[in-house]
Amino acid sequence: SALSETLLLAPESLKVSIDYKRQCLNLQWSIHSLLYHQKVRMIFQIEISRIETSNVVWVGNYSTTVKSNQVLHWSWESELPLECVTHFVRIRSAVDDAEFLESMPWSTWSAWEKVDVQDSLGPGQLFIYPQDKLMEEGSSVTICYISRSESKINCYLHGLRIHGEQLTPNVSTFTLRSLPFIKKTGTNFYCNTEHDKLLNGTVLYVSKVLEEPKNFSCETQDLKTLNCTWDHGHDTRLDIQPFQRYTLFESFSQEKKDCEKLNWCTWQVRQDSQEMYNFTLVAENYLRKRSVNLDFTLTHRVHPMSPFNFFHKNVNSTSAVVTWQVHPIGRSHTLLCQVELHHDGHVIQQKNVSVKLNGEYLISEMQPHTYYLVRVRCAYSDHFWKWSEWTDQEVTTLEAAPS
Amino acid sequence: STLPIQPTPSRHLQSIIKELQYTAKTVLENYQKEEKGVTERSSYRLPCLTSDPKPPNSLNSSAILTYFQTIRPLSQNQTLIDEIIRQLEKLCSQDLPKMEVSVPERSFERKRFIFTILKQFSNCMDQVVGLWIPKSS
Repeated sequence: SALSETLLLAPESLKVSIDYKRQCLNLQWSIHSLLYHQKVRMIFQIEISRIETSNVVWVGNYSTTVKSNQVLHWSWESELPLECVTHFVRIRSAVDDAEFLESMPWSTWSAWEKVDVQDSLGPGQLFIYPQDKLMEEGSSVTICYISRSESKINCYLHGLRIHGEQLTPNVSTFTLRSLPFIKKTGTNFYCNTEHDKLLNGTVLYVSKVLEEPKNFSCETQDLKTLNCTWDHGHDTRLDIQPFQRYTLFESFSQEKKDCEKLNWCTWQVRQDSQEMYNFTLVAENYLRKRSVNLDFTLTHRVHPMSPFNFFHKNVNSTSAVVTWQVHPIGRSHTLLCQVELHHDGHVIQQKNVSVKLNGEYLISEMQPHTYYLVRVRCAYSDHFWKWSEWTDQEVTTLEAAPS
Repeated sequence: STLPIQPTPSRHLQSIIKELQYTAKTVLENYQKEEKGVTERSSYRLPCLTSDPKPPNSLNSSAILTYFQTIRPLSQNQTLIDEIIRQLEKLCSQDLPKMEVSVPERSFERKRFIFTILKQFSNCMDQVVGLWIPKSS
């Protein structure tokens, strides 16, 4: 068919640009010789050299379906900062289409595309790259310096002398492995002359690794507001990574909330009496994203506030009445309250009392003229989750009447 | 340059200056320990004295204050920087125009800027103590 005459479809208009932030070479090219309606499965081979074209450092293939005059894109991440040395890129292609049984030969190589930033460095004796690198604890980085100084150069990491590898007469590289977190203002890598005069430096921002939130739990005191808490683990914030963000997503309502704190967040319960909740808590910083899930029934997570207005009355030598109030939970719900009588640090009586709003209980079989501690706590009767905190008070019985 | 003859400042002024001298030295030492490899860059200049011989005006406190307000958010040890700012505000005349201080973009250079400001401020305080506080006191 028409295609067979133009089988050696060589890539054309190769352009290479640099993404400094991501330390990537971005390639784009096209296949002009395809007829406009044709779509062909092709494989592209890319070669990348450093310093000189003969010094190939990377070869790789990229397969895709190609249409005529389509601009193809591909990018390559370099472990060595792209500013350090000149890079060269070339590309060739072959048809890799099931329609053609025999394997198709490679096209000719494109011309080498040269990527050189050295002349745009500007004034200065020594240039160090990368600048202000953000990375996770335990990862590695390759640093280079480009020197215009005649002096011998010594480089240090946080005060420790580091030895590099010379790439060219004026370019040396340093591969630093498994770097630890040291401080929020970053770890200084710097180079001095042999007379210890500082030439230049960079800061490696090594952050703790963002951890998956642990002990993620939500509860409510009033069926109106959910209080969610979790352990955030490491604080990964740094000068140039100022946030470690937590977001709550609720799948039934499809609502979301950005939490202001590292380890807790509130969620307003909607009034449409949604019972089931399925939360995803997402932790995020510049380098990583983690999430955990939690689903529960709202009324199974009631942790009441502690009882209040806890008083005693009608105290005599052997009994006393205690009264208290509880915060309302929902429309009309019952709380199970537990009353304890303590003497000398021992629980000598314990009683469960059902309460709607106001609680009252007669404590009897007390000793005359004796000091007691009385305390009360409550839990949600419909479904026990947690006791409230205790509320307590002191009671001293009267002396027995003379017999 | 010859230094102007200084009338003796009040006791209150002297104690502020001594406090600033002490805090400046502490902040500088802390920063030097913390930021290994960072050294002064002479092209950054912190104004110290004015042409007015009379304390406290002879100290360019409002310019210095602006520098410290600029480096405050960039430093980890903000408590001591706040202390310096608090003392400088006592010496400042309020009507002076606010000046702009530009900070280097790259972190390492920014650290050199901060270190230079702290170093020059410490030297400035030593100079002012020499000028304002009679040897006897």
